[in-house]
Amino acid sequence: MPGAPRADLWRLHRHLLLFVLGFIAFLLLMHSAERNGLSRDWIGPIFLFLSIMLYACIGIYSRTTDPEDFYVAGRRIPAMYNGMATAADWMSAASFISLSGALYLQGFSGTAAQPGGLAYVLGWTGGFCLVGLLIAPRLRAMALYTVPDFYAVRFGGRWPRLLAALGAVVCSFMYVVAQIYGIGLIASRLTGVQFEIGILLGLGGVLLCSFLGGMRAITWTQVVQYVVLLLAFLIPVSWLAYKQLGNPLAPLAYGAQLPKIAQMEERLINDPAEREVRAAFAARAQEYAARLKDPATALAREHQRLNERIRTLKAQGADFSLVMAARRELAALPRDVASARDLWGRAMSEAQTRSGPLGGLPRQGQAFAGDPNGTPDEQRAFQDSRLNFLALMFCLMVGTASLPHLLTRFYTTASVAETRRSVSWSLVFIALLYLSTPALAVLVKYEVLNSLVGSSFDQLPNWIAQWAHVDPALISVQDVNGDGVLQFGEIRLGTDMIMLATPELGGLPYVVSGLVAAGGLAAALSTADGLLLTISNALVRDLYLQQRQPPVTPEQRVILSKFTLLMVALVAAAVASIKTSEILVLVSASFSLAASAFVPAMLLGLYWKGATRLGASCGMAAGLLVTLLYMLLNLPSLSAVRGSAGHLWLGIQPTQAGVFGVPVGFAVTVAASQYERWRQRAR
Amino acid sequence: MSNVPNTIKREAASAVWVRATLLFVWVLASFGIAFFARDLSQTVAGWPLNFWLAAQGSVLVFIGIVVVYAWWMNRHEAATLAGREGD
Repeated sequence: MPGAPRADLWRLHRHLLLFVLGFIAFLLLMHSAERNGLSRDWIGPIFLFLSIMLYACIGIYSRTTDPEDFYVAGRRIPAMYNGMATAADWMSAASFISLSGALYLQGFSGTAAQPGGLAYVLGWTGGFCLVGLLIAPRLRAMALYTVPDFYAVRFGGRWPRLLAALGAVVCSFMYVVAQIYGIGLIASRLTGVQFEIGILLGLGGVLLCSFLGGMRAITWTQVVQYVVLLLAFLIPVSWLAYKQLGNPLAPLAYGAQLPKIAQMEERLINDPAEREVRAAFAARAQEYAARLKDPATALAREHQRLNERIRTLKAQGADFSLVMAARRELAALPRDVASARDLWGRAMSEAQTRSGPLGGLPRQGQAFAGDPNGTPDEQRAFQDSRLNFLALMFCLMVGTASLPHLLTRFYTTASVAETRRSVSWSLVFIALLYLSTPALAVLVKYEVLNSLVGSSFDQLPNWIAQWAHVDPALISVQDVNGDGVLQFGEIRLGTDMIMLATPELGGLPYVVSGLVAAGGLAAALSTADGLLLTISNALVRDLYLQQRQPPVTPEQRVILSKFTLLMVALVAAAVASIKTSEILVLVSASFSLAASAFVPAMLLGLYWKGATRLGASCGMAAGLLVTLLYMLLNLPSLSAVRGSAGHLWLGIQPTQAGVFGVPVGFAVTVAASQYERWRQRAR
Repeated sequence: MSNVPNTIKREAASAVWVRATLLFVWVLASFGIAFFARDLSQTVAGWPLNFWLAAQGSVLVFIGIVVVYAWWMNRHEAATLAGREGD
């Protein structure tokens, strides 16, 4: 039976339409409530709690203990709705929260040390060509439950399944940590609670849904979450575009702002006040470099200098706040030489970056750093930047084709033909958002350059202070050259706050801020749901139950999956609360891992009869090892410090390690398969 | 080689060709455009060409690729089944 009966489909369409209309009515209601004096302190929590309640209700409504429902939603999701759910599953906190921020900060392509920009847009959409043409239909034809199942069915034996389950757990776990970080960020901004409590709040929503209903509940929640996140993205973009250009169709109209931004950037590069700021940062970088030459003496000198200042301030009877400021500075000094080296090294590289033109940001519309016709240094910068851009794109595309939580979504359709159609729907739904993301970044940049830069420090909008309160790393604005006017070089924005702060930046009503946060939450929750289910399935079905004698009943298996899910969620929350890395860095790294662990053995297994069990096992292990080792060797560049590591091959950054892992995986799979076949023939 | 599986089916040559052509277009639209991005910085209809291609043009091409493939393969499969010449 291909797809659901027609009447059922119309019923679904009607429900969806009703939900969209109801949601819009709710927004209008909130808007008029805000006009009539509803406090901002209420709007955020209302959005947060209502949306989590909504998802939880769907989870409770579609609760299940039936294994077919729990693992693959009964294999009867219509193509279009599976496409929507896939889009929500796919667009994570990285797409919704960080992507427009990355496009703002990195412009077209980013730099060699931190490639990005449009590589994310290209990589995360282009990967679907691989999924749709090569992988998803054939996997669906095999009627499996998890991705490691494929390796077990195709190659047999224990090792391929074990390795695949291990790979699925590692890369999905990295990914889910990034989502939970996003959830914590949003919840703490919306309600003003602490970051850690924000994480717990969001986690409750995830668990209610995936814990009770498995894949079936997750699917319908994701459909709803897709609607929420799409509206939450399109409304502010259209509003901004209408404000700036008189045309709400942002993706069609924002091109007009690109030449204007290029002109403003040109003017800023030559602006005397901006030059002062750059000189100040260059001086800071030199100061740190001098300290780093002999950290021990510098540390002692700093201690002495600050103690002396406190003493003179006290002797002069100066204001108490000045003394406190000096005390705080003293307390903030690094404790020992090692941490001094680390802290000052980071401060030096940041000051160095910001002493460049435009505060170290590449120009918005310029493809790649450097200049292919310039000095040898510029030429090398250009080649490095282009190579890293292509490498990142490659990893994201190939990673897309292998991320287990995405591939399992295509198990839920009714037939192979429906799977093909479903991939097309997914890409259409994803593109609705991705085509607007560069528009948002460009419009926000115009807004910053046009209205924020040049305003006086006494009249800064108060969202800046509120965001700095959530996490000082997200935004910093300091009067570096002391002229009381905000220069572009004096603003430092974090990737993860630009989208969330867009409504305030553009002067939109606070309801839109609440909506955007709810959208970000929907994006993070929907992906976290899918990932947690994937991890717990891999742990229970593929790792634990394979070894058990006697086999357990399907119901026991579902219960076991549910409790594993709970444990994994708690561990991920604990890791996320350390705030180790930016969302995008974590996500790109997990794409590299997935690409090199799964793709070679999967593609060869699907299309080459000669691939054997030994080949697949060795190939997966080799790909995973090469990628992990390359990342670990260059670990400092995985966290905040970038670019200074000494083990880079061809100048490729560690997050793009998949470029090496994938070819190694292919080569090893082929070689080991040939070897095994040769051995068998020799016998 | 006990379990060379029935998962690898022999496909019609036409299906292989359609897939290869579409993948070639995919490589051009992604890696091709990205590689030559610096050389494509002319302005066309008010847009910097390279920015439009990378931000929107390629994505539209990708959609075209998966839609054409789904449409063609589903039609081809239905025809094969109807003609009872399937593998």
